[in-house]
Amino acid sequence: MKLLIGIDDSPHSRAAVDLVCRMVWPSGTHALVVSVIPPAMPVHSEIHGSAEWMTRLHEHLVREHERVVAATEGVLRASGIEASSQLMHGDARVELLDAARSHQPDLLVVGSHGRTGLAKLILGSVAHHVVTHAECSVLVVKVRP
Amino acid sequence: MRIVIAVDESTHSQRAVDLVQRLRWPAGSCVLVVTALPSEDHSEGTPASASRDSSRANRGATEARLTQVQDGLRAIGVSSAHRILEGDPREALIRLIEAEHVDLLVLGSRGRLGLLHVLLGSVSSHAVSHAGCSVLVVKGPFKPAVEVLEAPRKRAS
Repeated sequence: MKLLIGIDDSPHSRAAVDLVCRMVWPSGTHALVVSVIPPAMPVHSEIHGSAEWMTRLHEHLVREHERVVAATEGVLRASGIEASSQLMHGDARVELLDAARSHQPDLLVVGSHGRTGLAKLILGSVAHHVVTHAECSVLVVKVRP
Repeated sequence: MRIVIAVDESTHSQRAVDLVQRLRWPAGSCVLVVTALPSEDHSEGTPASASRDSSRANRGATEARLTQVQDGLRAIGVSSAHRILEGDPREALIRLIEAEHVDLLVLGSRGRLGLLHVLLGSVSSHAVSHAGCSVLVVKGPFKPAVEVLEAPRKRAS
């Protein structure tokens, strides 16, 4: 079975990985961990000045995402699930659907809310978008309050 | 793990059932199989007795369907129970999830009420937003769960 897990550094995302680990998958199940790096906001570039600052910010973001996906891969492997990862750049809603189109997973897994966005929304925008538009089955994982 | 699977007569719902029956669940998991009765025919000119008979027949067919799903679950060693939801299925489903402290809701993306929401069924859409638990929406086109899940086992044997 092919799983695609969209993650970020949020409690809902960790809950999603926990749930995947608790479930018992058929042998040979492979999980592709995808994390999407948002574009650095040029809004503050005048204040902070240089392109160099933007580059450093971007490098920092990439390192953070690499750290999170590597940790997630480790957690999945420890539960006996084969895992690999991919970093993408752009809007998480668009990129996750793109990844689903190219990898054709049987199941796309996301947390109900991401790291950014409004916690008061009953469903985060990424979860809402992929559960509505993905062609494959979608597991939306929520943290029990 | 406490799991609820919502079933009706749609193919998406059948795919959801296939998936739940083909996965192996953590020891001690319990599945609650739920459905809503088709809305009753209150059209004018239908004699009350005929309406009662049809309602009884509906309930019988529904119970049979639920029992069939439970048989499949028993075959894979998962304990289960069933429940028929009364009233608005969307609200009843959310209330049940709270009352039973459910961890995971599994349902097809488009059930009987699917025409209301073109991309995602009305019940599914409401459940994903309002359920306090995680929600697995099973969609098509979906590789038949049987093929997907049996293939690795076949290779292993």
